[in-house]
Amino acid sequence: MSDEIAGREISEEDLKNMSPEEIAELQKQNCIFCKIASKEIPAKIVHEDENTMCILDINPASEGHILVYPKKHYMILPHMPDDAIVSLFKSVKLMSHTLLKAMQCKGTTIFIANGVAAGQRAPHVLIHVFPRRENDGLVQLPKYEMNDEQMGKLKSVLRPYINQVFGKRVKDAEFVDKNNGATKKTEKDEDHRHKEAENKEHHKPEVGKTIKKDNKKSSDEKDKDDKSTKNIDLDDIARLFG
Amino acid sequence: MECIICDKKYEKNILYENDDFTIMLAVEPSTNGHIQIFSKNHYTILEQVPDETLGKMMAAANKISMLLFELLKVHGTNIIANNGVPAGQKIPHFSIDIIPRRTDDNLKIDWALKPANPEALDSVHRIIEEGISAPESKPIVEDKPKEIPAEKSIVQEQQKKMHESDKDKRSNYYHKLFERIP
Repeated sequence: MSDEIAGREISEEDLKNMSPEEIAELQKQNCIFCKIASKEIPAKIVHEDENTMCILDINPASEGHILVYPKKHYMILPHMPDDAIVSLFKSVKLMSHTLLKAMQCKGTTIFIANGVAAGQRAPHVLIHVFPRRENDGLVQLPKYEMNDEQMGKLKSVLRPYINQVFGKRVKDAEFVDKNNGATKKTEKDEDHRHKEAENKEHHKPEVGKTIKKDNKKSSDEKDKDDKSTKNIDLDDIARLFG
Repeated sequence: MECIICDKKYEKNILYENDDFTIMLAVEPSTNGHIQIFSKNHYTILEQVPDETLGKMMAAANKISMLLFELLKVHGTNIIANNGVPAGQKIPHFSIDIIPRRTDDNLKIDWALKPANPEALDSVHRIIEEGISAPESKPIVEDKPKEIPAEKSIVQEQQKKMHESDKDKRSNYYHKLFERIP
């Protein structure tokens, strides 16, 4: 009830005077996907857990189109902390796997749109997972010709920042040295930005820990994973590559 | 097994790599700034990638997407994983694509909004629910996924089921699958 009242009574002028937090709260109250998560609005729920909803899209790209989304209201993916993304993608993988067997398709597409320009239609993070079939005409990626010069330019723009975000690699030392001047200037901004991000997310130390754990695990688990997939027809799907 | 990614045929495209993933300029770019993240270990499709690695790759994809917004001043990004040949996956090594979008790029990557027939939706709902409740998919959503990797528990669960009996033949995906093989 209160949601509807809030929706009706707030004028554009009110909106201008509202803080970003208040606007976010308002959006949350009016968010159809939050209402589905709280069961105020019915939907075809195929799966849910503590943090995640998986529902059928009522405007499917193909039969079996599932929307996987966090129960918590995040407008865009960049707002989501890493651990929430990790937990979300466990469900994405489960849904893709389920579609492969239940819908008997040999491929799926995982699709995320960030921003209206990319085709985002709802103010809530949604991961689209849908079955793909030969020549279904969906998600056709065009080709964009790039020459070496353009690629070099792109690399020089991105690389210093990527190294800052993920940590420098020995291999890139030479490259970073050359651009030392440029990277130093931006370091402050970057640091600031990351501190902000960390404050919001509180997860960076955990990420570091899990990376170490995973390194040890991954080699052991790799074999097991390979074995596990042999039982399933996933191998057939993987073998379709000529 | 030969793989153009594992064999580093596109080393010049590499922007960054660690023990989990490699970030590179797309092998076949769709727009200016198209980035691909490949798993470090060779997995052909999504279902073979361990949850933890997938999570890290996605978190990285999100960070790259944020960088593209800031550095290339793009208006949006698509994060796409085309999984399997019918989905248009060209390289047999699992990857996540981050495609920068501009408002005037005129790309039609998404699909037309077409409401589904309610009955069709009902029947798909049933089929998928059955698929999820099939015995081997349960362990993936268990309480302590870190201690027992999902893939492993699927196998254990499955082997148990296989050995037990054919009681739940109806709901068992593998039995259905094997029955179909002549």
